[in-house]
Amino acid sequence: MGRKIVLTSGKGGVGKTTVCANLGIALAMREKKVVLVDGDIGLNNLDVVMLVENKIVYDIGDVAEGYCRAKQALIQDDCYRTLFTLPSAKYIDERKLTAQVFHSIIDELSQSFDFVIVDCPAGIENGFHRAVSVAEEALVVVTPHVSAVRDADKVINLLATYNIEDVSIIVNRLKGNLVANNKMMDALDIARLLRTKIKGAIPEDDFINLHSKFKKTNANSPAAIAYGLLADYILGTGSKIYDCSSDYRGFFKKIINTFRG
Amino acid sequence: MQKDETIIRLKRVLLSDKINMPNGLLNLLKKDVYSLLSCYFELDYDTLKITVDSNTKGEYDIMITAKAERVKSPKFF
Repeated sequence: MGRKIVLTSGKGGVGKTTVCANLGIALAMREKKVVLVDGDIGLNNLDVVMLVENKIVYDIGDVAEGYCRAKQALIQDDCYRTLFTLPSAKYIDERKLTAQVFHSIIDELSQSFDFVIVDCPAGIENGFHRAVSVAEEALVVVTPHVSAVRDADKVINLLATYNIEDVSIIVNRLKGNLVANNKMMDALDIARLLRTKIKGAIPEDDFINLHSKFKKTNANSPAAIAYGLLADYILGTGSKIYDCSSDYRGFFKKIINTFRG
Repeated sequence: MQKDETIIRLKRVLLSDKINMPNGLLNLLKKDVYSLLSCYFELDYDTLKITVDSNTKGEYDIMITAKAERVKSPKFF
């Protein structure tokens, strides 16, 4: 049985889908068989981030309604052959994709994959309940902003009412220069505030901003390294968190970054 | 520092969410406690600190601290 992980946040726009895609890539690069499930019905974007929107034949709605099997709806990634995406439906009657039906789809996938990663919708309504109730582990994505931390705190409290063994946070969109100058909270500050274990810190990265996911040619960028460390932490082969401010500390680095602008 | 201010602000927000008590209510409580204590002590409003936290039993822990210059004479009561 593969591990069932939900990526959630409460607040929208913190980068759940981006983290989902890049974590999937980082795990696939470590030769793990990964399926990314878009749990966001109606506001689905994982297909676009994974660049598979033109390959969709069946979606999770078709699986729920019995038109196809879950494996038939999967789309294999072009670059990473062990990475698959299960696209969400543009619309499906909520009564047809109940938590139980969703549960059976995820269970079926977990038989053939090492990781089933569910991209949870924003908010704490039905879609959240459906996505969270299937998971054994939860990764709460948060950015260093007051509103995101507040919503993450509420979600962490809510997750305590589900049968989830492990709840951790991933701090996304950290700006190293602001963290180094004590203007922005760092990942550990946020973990302390939320009293929750941290598994990853992802720096703001122009390449990710433009393309949403890193590529093999871009595997040495700060965000790609951070996702690699996150994947290692999840696999249990490492416990390092990316230090976003390390490039901005020290006299010479400060001078270099001043000239870089 | 901007970061420290954010952390203090967040702590306050997270606490008020947990104890289900609006921030404004804490300010009202502070005013009432100040008016009560100032009948007995000469104290500065800014030194009065009230924190409300919730414990694992779901009860509220209320802590009031203040610094007074002196005790007021009984004739002023």
